[in-house]
Amino acid sequence: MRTANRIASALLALVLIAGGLLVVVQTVSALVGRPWPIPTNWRRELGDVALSEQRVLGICIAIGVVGLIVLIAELIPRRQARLPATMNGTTWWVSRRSAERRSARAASLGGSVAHPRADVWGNSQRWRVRVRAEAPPHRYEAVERAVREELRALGAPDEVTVATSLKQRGRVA
Amino acid sequence: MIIVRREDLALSVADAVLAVPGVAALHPGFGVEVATLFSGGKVVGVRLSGETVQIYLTADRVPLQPVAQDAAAAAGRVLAAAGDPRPVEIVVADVTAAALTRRTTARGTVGAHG
Repeated sequence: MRTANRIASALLALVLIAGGLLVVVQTVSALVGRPWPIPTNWRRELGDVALSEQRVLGICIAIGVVGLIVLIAELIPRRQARLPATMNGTTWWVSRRSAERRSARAASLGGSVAHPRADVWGNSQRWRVRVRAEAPPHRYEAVERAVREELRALGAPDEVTVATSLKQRGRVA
Repeated sequence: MIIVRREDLALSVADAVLAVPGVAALHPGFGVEVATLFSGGKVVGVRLSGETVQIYLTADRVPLQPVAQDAAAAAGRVLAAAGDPRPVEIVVADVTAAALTRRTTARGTVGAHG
């Protein structure tokens, strides 16, 4: 979210810079007697625009849609970037992506599965992990054991919930 | 009160953390770079602004808890010496692949003997 906010701030800054430059250009061009790019009668022209005109409606809809998109983007819950681990009452953090990558690798090496994918999330009391891979069903326990061991090494709390989904690759006739 | 330049403090914290066994490097974080900026340079992986001092690191050994604990203690000692009472927040942003390989190899060796 911090990245999105930085981008939004950068865009706002660019708009403000563009506005400032426009004012400078407009002022200089007015001083030399050739107003540009905004004509001097813009106010009168704008005053003639009725609210019922289609372009007014279009601009209003566009602004409303942009506002709605920004609102939804801010409200959508995001996957946590880091997972809390505790040590002696102090919290430290492990990158979620790193935990996922290592869980998948542990499943691959310890559980002998193919194409493993792991999603990890949680809080300081419990981590949850969902592992998906291609393997015969009897690998289930080995995968779970390997992932639990890996997460414990990464600083997971005592309570770790592992959901494993294994599917066998379809045979080609 | 001890007055220490920000860049000196950041560099000292970085040096202390990098000296901890198991810390392979400091990490720039994800998205917005975690760093302490100053004129003429920056210290990546150490963020001194804010209520806590954030340190992002790459570990090259597991388990991570002792690494994080030692890194926090090392950074805390530097900050305390500079009269900075802020707490330290450790983020293990990455773990090198070698750490897992070493652990797996070691487990295999133990298993073979057992």
